[in-house]
Amino acid sequence: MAFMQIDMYSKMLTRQTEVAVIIPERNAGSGPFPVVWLLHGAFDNSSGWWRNTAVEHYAEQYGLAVVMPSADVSFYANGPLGRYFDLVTQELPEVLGSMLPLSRDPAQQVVAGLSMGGHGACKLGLTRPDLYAGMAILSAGDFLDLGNPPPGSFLEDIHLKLFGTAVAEELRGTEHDMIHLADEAAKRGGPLPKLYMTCGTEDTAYDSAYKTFRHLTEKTGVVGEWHSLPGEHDWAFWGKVLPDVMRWCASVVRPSES
Amino acid sequence: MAFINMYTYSSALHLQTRLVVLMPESVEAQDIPVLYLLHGGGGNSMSWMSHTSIQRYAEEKGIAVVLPAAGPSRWLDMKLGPAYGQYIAEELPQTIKRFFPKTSDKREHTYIGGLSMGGGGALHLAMLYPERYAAVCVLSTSSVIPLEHLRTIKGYPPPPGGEGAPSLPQIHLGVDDPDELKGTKYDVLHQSVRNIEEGKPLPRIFHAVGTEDHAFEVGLALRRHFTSLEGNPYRYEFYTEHAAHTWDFWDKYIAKFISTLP
Repeated sequence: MAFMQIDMYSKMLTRQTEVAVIIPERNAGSGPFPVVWLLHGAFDNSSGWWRNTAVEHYAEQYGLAVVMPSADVSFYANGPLGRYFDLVTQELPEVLGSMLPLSRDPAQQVVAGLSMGGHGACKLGLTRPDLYAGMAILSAGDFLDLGNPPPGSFLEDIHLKLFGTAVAEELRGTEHDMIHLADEAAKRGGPLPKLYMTCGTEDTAYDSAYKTFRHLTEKTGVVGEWHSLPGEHDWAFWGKVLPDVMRWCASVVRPSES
Repeated sequence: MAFINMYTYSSALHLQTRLVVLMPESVEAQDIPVLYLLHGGGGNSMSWMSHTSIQRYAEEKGIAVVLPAAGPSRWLDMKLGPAYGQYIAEELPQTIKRFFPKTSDKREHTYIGGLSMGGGGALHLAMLYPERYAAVCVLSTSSVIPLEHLRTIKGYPPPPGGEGAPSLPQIHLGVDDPDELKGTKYDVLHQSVRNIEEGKPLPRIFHAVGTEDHAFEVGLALRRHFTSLEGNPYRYEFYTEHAAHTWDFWDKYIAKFISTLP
């Protein structure tokens, strides 16, 4: 198993950025390998997933490459501090795909993430369904359901700096509204990525996550599976569900073998 | 010398952060001096490592070097982002002392420096927190308020948000032109005089810039200011030669700065 920490210049961010990459060695021949774009949550960086879970173990088991970008607290959108959406959807696939044995075939791409990363997976999957065969959303639903951030809190500060508003309802119908993105994608027509959603029953995001799942699968024609199990919004939960998420990613990129 | 690539959470930034730390390996070493070394625009923790022999110079001198990353900032608290000034000057020394107990937390063994945007950041932080640093190394910087208009290349790098997005001065400081902050705590010249008036301890200033560098005029203005202060209270020293805004120059002068340390 090759584990790489890559420092590279990003034109989308106008600065050096860090990406962690796992490339299978044993199980899966010489590549190019299917790719799981694995997105971290708020306050984290490219090191979160590999430090807190056994993602490398499962990458090897299923013969999947895993790319873990650093996206600050960007909600994976193009914003004033950088074009993070373009980083993950365009620049990293182009630069890393050229440097490493990563598949460029959309049928072999899955985008996955936890919390803010789950929001990102949904945003990327629904805005660019042409790029991904699957999207896995862990512990996230349409965050607008959670209402306004507490006044004076750091979360409110983030909302103001990133979104320009601390009023969640003002984000309805924008790129940050998952339901809206789903409806728009359905209107445009064409295939949509398969969906895997999971959330811990003790997580405050649970109701929002399930409601989002129902909307995506019942109203917009997304084919999906829902996994509810005991757990909170923490690494114990994400470590527990990761093996099944990776199993599902493998099944999406190799449907004939599942 | 150990090269340590580490990740740890910053409360000041509310972010997992990456740090590169160069640490003497000697088990006898005590009270190890620490140099906080700041990269330039667009760089990160590996910039100094990749382009200079900083590890060799630090090892020869027996000091530790901390290489943080500025992210989208210019090493100061951001208008549209996290508080990088507090992170570097207030939080990071505590972090370093916690993980590396044999490092010194005494002012006399604490230094800060940088190149270009990092040189400006180091100078700004040394003026805002003079009680924390014994010496500051300022290399080839034009990121010095209120002198930025003297930079001989005009305009700013493109905004990270792309065309039409808020400019760098806007995301950094909430102004269209950083020199608008003349007379505030972000005015290095003004702060340098205030520190004297308030009886603060004053860091020694080591300043170098090449004659062909777009920052040269800014450098001359800085020299004019600091040498005009009676008695040269900042023990200000200026170095120049026929050179431009290049890594060769920064490699040479960081080595020279380190050689001036006790």
